[in-house]
Amino acid sequence: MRNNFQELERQEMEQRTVPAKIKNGVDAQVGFFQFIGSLFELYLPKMVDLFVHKMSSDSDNAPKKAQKRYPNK
Amino acid sequence: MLKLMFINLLNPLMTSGVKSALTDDEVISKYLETSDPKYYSILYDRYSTKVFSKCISLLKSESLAEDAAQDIFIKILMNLSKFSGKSKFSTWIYSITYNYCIDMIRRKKKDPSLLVDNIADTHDAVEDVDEKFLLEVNITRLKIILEDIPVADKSILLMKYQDSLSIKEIGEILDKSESAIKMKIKRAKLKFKKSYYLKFKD
Repeated sequence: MRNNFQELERQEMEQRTVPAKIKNGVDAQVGFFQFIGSLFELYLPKMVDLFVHKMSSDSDNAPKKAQKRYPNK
Repeated sequence: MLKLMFINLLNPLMTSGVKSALTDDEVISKYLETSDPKYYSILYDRYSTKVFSKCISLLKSESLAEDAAQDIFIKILMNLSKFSGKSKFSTWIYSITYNYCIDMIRRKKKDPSLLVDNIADTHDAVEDVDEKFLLEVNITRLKIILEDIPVADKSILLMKYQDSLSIKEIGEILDKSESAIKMKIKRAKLKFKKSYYLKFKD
């Protein structure tokens, strides 16, 4: 059985309808976060791979560059 | 990429209004497993009216309550993985709702009593009001008195008598010891009684 506080809450809840714009706002934010999450999920590993590849290729090329600069050594 | 974006934006809208026999804990674990927005919609449908109603009751403004309810649901979603299941999901939602609304009022400095929170923790002698008195007040008068007393007192009375939370649960929500909560309830009941006699002297 409800007490008077709970009955008051029930009456207030009956009188009110939750505006649709709250749900729309939440959905838009959730969608946006999921989209950003998906972008990271899709592209972050590729970006890391690219970065690692670039770093390794730079270090491979380093001695050759030095040779070109000082051909008599 | 655009297709993915549209699917993500439209999915929650397409799955709103889903009814489910699953318990809150089951819905949460399904959502965390699948990230399917339909599970979040179930939780939204179950609690949105209550959260919105509480926001209006505490903030006393429909437009503020709309913003607050939206932020609260986003906060719930973002922190869903942190919900440990130690307390009921409803208690966890109420804790976010009460704390958000109290913070909002504090920021707007609408209620200075929230700023002197620690002063109210002093354990001096306070008359103990029988809770029978509170529970026998008729609903129309109850509504008037709850609008009259400070939000801090109102929220603690709502937690105790409307949401039927235990002293321990209220303590966890407000991050206070159980003895501090007992004192706050005592004070809130006294303010309630004083307000009642001021407004309805008959």
